[in-house]
Amino acid sequence: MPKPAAAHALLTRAITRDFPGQIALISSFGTESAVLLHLISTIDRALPILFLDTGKLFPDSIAYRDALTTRLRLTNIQALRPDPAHLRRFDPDHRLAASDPDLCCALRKTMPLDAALIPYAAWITGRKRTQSDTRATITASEPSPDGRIILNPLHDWTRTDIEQYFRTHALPRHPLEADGFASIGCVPCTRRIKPGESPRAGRWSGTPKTECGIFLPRPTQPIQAPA
Amino acid sequence: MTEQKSLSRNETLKAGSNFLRGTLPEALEQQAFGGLTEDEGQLVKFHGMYIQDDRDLRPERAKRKLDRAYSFMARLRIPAGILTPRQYLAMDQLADTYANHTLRLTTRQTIQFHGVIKANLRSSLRAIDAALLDSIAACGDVNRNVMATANPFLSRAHTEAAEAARALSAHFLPRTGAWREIFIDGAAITPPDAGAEPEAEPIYGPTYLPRKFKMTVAVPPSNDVDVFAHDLSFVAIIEQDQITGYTIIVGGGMGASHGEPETYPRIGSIIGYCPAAQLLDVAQAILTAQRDFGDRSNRKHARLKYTIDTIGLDEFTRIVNERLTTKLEPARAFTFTNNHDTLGWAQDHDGLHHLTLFIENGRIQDTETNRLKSALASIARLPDFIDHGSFIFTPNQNIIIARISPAQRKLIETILADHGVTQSASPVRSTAMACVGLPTCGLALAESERYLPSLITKLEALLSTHGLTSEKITIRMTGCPNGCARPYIAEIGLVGRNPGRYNLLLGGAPDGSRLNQPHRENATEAEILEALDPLFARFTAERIAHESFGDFCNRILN
Repeated sequence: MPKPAAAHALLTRAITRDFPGQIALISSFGTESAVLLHLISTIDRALPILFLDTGKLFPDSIAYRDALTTRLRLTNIQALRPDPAHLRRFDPDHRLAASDPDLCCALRKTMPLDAALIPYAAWITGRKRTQSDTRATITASEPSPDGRIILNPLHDWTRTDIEQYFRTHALPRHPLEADGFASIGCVPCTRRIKPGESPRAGRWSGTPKTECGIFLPRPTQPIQAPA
Repeated sequence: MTEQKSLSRNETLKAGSNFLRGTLPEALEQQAFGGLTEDEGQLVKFHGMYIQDDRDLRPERAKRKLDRAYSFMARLRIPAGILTPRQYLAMDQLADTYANHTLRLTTRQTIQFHGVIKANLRSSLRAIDAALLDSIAACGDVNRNVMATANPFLSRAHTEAAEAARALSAHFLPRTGAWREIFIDGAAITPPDAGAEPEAEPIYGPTYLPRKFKMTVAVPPSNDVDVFAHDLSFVAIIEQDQITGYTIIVGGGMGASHGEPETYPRIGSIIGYCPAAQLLDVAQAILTAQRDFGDRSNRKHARLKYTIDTIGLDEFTRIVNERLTTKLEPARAFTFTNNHDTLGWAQDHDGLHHLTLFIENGRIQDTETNRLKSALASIARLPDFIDHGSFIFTPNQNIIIARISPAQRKLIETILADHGVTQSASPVRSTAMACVGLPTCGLALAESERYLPSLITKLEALLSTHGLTSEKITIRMTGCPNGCARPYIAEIGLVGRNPGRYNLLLGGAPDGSRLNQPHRENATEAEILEALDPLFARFTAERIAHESFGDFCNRILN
């Protein structure tokens, strides 16, 4: 089966049969997100789409989100935002991204996502094996650290497959892509990539960090907000 | 109430248009005629465009037996008025390539392009589409551009208000594929199985709304969006910097017609409160109540304000509640200080800087001495700013250069100064607004944008003789009574009546919460100045404490 058809079949089964009403897509509206969003729009435009609005995103990512939302007629985008109490306590001067990026991602991504995932049994991501070494072994469907099912319908897609899908469906590109960005996260921790670098080389560049943490096992000690 | 009246011409047109297509595709192909038929002109509004002509050239062209000099005005949909620098640059370029080398910021936080000829219409819209923007529902009988208090980066609540505006805009966007099909060519992004789904408008239905519908979201204490002047406004109620819910205001509207007392401006009415999560449900209940109960026989009586006055506010609220699973709660209190922009620099919690720049009547252009358009384009291209910055159009037709790093603040000031862009406008000039008016607007009865600056110069002189130079007095001018610049809530309102003549209205509140009252009819410039001179004198002598000029006029005149 061609990869788009396989991904469509996997998604249709999960959304309509295996986890009806209990499944959500998590999307960053990044450079490759349009593929999965387009596939979803052909199955269920009201599927919850969780979007981590960290407060540090590129304005072009928000513009891209809005354009895809209206073009694909997606009706259930849910912006997840960090708890203001956490920000006041741990990032009062907005410099946490530089001093402790792990904690910054925890406050702005992992914790809001964990809270938002409570009603769901499964979630869908756009991760691909070719993105980085840490993602080289992902499969179509795997248990997440918290016991939910993670679906990776694009796990075996290559850059060529993605390009092909964009062309076939005339999907708009992320505005930062033409300007040298490949994988796009928050402003403080994303840079343009140089020729020959892996797509995710521009994330947390100069630090050992490669993942924000939403796909990693959670710390055993939860972060406590002040009472 | 049950009397059957015949539907207005536009209703039949909408119903038979196949979801806003009509004969527009054919009309665009016909290049010999630069205009559109009457019906096509009505339909193209839903796609964000008006067919206009240069009225300055009408007499000369008529003498030479030429057609009118037709061109299009294209208006964008920009919820909350926010563009990225890349989007702004694309629009800056569009103005040069296909329009009249200017960008016109509107009173509803968007951009208008003027002077786009029919042959360039599709290319213009493709440029807009390529910048991830559109002009869908920017005009027409639909939910128009949704406004939100500028600046969305100053606090969490401002960001949430901008997001609310975006959500409202997306939710009420017409579902028809007509815009993309007609102007961009081919439904490129249509999902593979879309053929199975018949086209429909689940919220509007095939005849859309009886008339235009305008929404805003305000973050007190600023009433920059003028919540009382739109069909539906949400006033944010904030706890701990987050929006917990909204007080709801319905039935505001400015438009009226000269000599037709059954048409009138109306201040919106407060009908209740809803939690933030109920925003879309409440908006839909109110919009569909107007869809179902609005007057579809008389377009001059079709706005929500007339629906409410016809059936009564209590009955309207009952109808809205009937459509909601959770009824509206009692309204929560809010306080507004004014409806202006705070010009100059501001800094947010993130350490970023924002510059609110005064733009006279919202016209971004280059003149010999003031190269504002070039300056803004240079700023948009700055490294880092192009990735991290934003441009925000304010409800007062100004621009906020937002999200500037501290390191670039000085540089931006230098660029502005080098281009002759100064920020020394008097208080009265920097809060004034005029609509576009002549020569492009087909409705204008008198000059507006081209005239107001010179009138302000005379008013500045007059105010200075009374020692009122530093006084902020809201002056708004429109070339016709439809009220695009919201003149009926200004402290001094001027509404075009005949060439060179205006109705003078006085006594609006500085926070936009009260209608002004007619003071002089059909007045010339000399008569306007003559009427204001003694009032400025009395204001100086008789004002109570920090009373505003509008409050003063309301106290002594009304």
